[in-house]
Amino acid sequence: MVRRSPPDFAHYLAKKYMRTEMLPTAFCPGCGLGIIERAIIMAIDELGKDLWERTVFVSGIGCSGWIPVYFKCDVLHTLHGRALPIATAIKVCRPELNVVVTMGDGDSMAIGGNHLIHAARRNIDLTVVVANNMLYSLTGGQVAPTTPQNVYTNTTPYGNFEPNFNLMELMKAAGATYFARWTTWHFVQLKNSIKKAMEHRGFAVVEVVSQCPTYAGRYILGKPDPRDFMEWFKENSVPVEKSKEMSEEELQGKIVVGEFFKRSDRREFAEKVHTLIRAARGDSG
Amino acid sequence: MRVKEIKISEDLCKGCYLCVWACPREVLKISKERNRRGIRPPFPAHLDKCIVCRLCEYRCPDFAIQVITDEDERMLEGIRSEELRWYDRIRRRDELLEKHGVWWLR
Repeated sequence: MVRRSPPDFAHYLAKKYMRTEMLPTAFCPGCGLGIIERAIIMAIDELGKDLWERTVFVSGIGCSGWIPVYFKCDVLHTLHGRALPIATAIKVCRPELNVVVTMGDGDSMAIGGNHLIHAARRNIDLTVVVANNMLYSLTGGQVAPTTPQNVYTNTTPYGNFEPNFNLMELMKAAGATYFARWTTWHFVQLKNSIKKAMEHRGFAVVEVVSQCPTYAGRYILGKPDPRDFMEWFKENSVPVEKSKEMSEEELQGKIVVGEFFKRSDRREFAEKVHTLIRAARGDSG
Repeated sequence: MRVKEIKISEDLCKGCYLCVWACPREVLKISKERNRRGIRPPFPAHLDKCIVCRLCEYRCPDFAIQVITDEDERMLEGIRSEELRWYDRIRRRDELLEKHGVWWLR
């Protein structure tokens, strides 16, 4: 239900950048997507309000598709997994826009995995925020490509025997130029990484390991409380510098967080396209 | 920087208590009574202990809590007019819809 009067109180960032008539959000109590929303808003707030005016948010299907719906901004809510092709089209047509794609793990790595790889291969100037909650949460806690091994979910009653995706290795091999992974517990680092990803010219991926207290809490952790999830993130996250000295067995079940790589040796796709268009038309510039 | 007030919205708070968990000085407590939405919202029990670290704001997924200092109060005044303009727009849109109808429902 959409209200017709302002709520009794809301945070000033919500009043400034969000459609407060649609609040409270559709997320479950304690969902990490709200924290990701705040990180995106704070990153753009610190980069300046004029960036907000030329930002386009593209989202797919899933709980994560609801992230930009509350923003007072241009938002495209697209097909399942097909957020990146549409974002690519926007960026090629209007290179001056700042295009931010918010996707979930099912949206980016399962159904849209192909698009993610090819967008990274082209190195197009997009900021991709991947909310990874380790299973399919919207549909009821089924096993996903990102579910850790030996974990019980709704569809793996004997434990998950498939190995899970490591998005960092995938993006490194495919040719993305910026990758950072944080959990929702590392709020300030997450915000700074999103800021860097928006300033970076090239395909920038920020993976956020987020909590889903309703399904991941029930199945993976066994405790459906967001506070326990935050404690778990706090205890099980390892900085990337420290993880280099640790062995495979020690890293089992840990979340390696940090800024993994930042490259500047690859050219950007939209720039290449427009150079080619100018050359084909015979313009000297 | 001194805290003046910790405001918690009744309309937005869903009662996940991440703010209570995040506070390093145990300022917030969970109230005993339920509000009209059936949620026991947190309330600032020891306001004098607050050090304005804003960790409760950062952890809140629903934009429901804000630590308000003197500077924040001036900023909130500025945002107030912006918010009223936004709701004016919504009212004008509703009036237009009522006057002309919705084309796909005609």
